[in-house]
Amino acid sequence: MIGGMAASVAAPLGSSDTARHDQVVLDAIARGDLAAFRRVYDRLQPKLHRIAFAVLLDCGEADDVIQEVFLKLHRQAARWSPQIGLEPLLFRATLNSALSLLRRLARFRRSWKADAGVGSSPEHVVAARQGIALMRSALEGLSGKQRAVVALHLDAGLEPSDIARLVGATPNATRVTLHRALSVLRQTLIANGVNPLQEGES
Amino acid sequence: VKDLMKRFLDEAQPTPHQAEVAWRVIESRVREPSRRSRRWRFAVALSATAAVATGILWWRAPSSPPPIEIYVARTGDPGSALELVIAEAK
Repeated sequence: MIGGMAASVAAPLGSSDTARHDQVVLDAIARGDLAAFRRVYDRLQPKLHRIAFAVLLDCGEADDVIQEVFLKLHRQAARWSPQIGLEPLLFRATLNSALSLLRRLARFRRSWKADAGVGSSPEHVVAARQGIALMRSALEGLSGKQRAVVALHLDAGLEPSDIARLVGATPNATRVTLHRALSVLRQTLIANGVNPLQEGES
Repeated sequence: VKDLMKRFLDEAQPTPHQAEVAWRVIESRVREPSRRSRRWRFAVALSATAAVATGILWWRAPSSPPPIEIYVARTGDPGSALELVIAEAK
């Protein structure tokens, strides 16, 4: 019964079978099935961590958010109803926790030093560090919610209509938020000598 | 932008070992719900440190009037200084 669950959480948003499978997963977790819980963790932890980090720009805080989200899943699985799917449900829980923590940390933000390790040649490492440092600098110019929308679109591949359900906004408002955030990112990168059109699809 | 964003987020990804350690923490907290998070323990330690520091400062703060020599130096007269000390003590 639990065997197909890992696949179920990978199903696209709104898939007809997803809700039924997700309910089975939640039921298993609610019964204390650690193996099912672990499968959900292994499948979704990287995605959720990327979203939490995009909002918080801090690895340690993102780790804490993920920990709290999975503990909440374990404790409240019996009460959760995956009407929008387990994956979007955890995306939403992660976003809420990260944005809430971001507000609490507003005065106590710790700096995070980018430490790129892409490639092997010195030129590659320097270029990667510059690009990543620039990206961090550009992202810092956005609000936490804008960063979340950008990450959900560019990294998780969600459409604005799906993102809207996660952030509690209308699809049109989400499109505007995404458009403005991407414009700011492009302008910041261009101003620093990076041509986004050469870096990849935007 | 998409490529840079993915590279930026790749940099922040926990290694498999870190992810495993993170899972062990979650697993242990599931088994022992009374265990507290790192942030909670840090907050408690910070509060305790602040309480101890406040206690030390309070304990070291002068709770009695300055020595009579200060009053003597201020008034130039031991008798007047004594009167000031008595008045302050009241």
